[in-house]
Amino acid sequence: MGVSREELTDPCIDQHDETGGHAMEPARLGVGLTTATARTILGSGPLPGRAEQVAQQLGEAIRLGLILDGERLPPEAQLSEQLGIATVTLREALAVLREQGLIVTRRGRAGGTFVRSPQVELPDSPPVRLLDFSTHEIRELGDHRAAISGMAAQLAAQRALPDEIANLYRQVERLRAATTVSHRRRADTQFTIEVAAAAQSSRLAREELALRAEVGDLLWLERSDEDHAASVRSRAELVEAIGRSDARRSRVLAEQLVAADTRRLLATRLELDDHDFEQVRQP
Amino acid sequence: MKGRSPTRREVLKQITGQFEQIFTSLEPLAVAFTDLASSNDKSRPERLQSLRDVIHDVLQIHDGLVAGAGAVAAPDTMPDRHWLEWWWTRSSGAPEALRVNLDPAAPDFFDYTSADWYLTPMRTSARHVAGPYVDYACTNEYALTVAVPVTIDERFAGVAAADVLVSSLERQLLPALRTLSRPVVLLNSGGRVIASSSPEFASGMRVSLPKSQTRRPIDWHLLPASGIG
Repeated sequence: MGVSREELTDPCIDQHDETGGHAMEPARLGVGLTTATARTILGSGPLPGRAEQVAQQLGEAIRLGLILDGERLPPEAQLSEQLGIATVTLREALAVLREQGLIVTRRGRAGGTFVRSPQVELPDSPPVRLLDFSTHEIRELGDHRAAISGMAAQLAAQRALPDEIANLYRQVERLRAATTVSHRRRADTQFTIEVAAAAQSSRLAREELALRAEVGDLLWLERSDEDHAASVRSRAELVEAIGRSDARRSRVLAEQLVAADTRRLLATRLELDDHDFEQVRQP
Repeated sequence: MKGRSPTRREVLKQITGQFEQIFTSLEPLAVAFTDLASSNDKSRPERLQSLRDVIHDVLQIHDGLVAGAGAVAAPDTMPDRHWLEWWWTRSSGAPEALRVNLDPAAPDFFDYTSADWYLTPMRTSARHVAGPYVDYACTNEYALTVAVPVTIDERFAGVAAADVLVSSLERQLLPALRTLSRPVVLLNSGGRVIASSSPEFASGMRVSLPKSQTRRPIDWHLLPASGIG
């Protein structure tokens, strides 16, 4: 297909063209699957089993607040049917979640399996989960979020209709009115997803939701009311740019929102010294 | 022998005709919901079952085009303040009931009363096709919602509605659009692209439209791509 043979063959491998008899059809003597290819296929780790996948997804739903703290999970038979998995797979997944402390099972008449949301940490306790992230990972996360949110804002400016812009203003007002950390976090998550919806992109909306599931709780750690007022202001400014159909400005503003989050996360992470780490890991 | 190629007006009529058929299918659904809303504790279970049967009929009649259908109640029309009965088709197998949180205090409360497909039929007492929009609250698909208002004793009682995925619609639509001599773009009344046979335009894009005077339930436009700025 217009690609020369030299480009196709690996120079590191000895060629036996004359004796091999494959003059018409050059053999591709590769290394099989390169490490880079295998990593791309597998993501960052080995392919998790079905139960681990289910556990991870349920865990995300709990972290995101889609399944509420204290909520009783439906009976195993019903839940496994709803998720389209075998009951034994569900049981394995629940065991993983139980180990992570995301669910508890109580016996007796008022018993069952209950969700224990990790967000009920005391506001002044050290942000334990942030210790799982290196500053490098926080930077990577910021890049990923900036790509998604920036593009969503740009497309929203190009595509949103007046109703959708009015809705974005309503979301900003909801955020302004929110007083508790968990309400603010939820209002902000909603705002972010509505921007992606205004961009007419289900994929970007899904991606925003997944990113929030991963780190949403960290983004709203220890915020003062002044911080909150500032984030409401900057989101209102973003909606205004979207309303003006100013795609470039919208993108820049959305990227700046993410950059501010990333800076704050990095600062908080750097403040956590080894001492905190020891205390958390060996109580 | 090949007949003359159709005109844009004819193709648009064919497209809106498909939606008129969905409107027609929603009538028995609206009636079944009216019956349920006027039921008492004793007759309610039976009438709920009848409503489900009608919903499943709608899904079956428009298989491949309608992805979900059901009824939602205006607040306090049913014993529960917020109420809906909604089913969607899975790629394989029987329809599945949609589960959403209808507790206003919950963070994931599904507030259908603020959705365009609920508000517009309520305000105008007329049929409406909402979208396309990202249905992130339910299926997370890019969809249109076809809705008819339900009135009981001259009071708005809710809507009977059906979801059409833009991808399914396009699959049915594109052959018809291609019969036209020039690439065309199908737009909703707000200037949003629903489907297009031109690579310059894709669903979800926004173009400026001259202000439309009409207020028809399906106020769509099929325009030559070359004439759109």
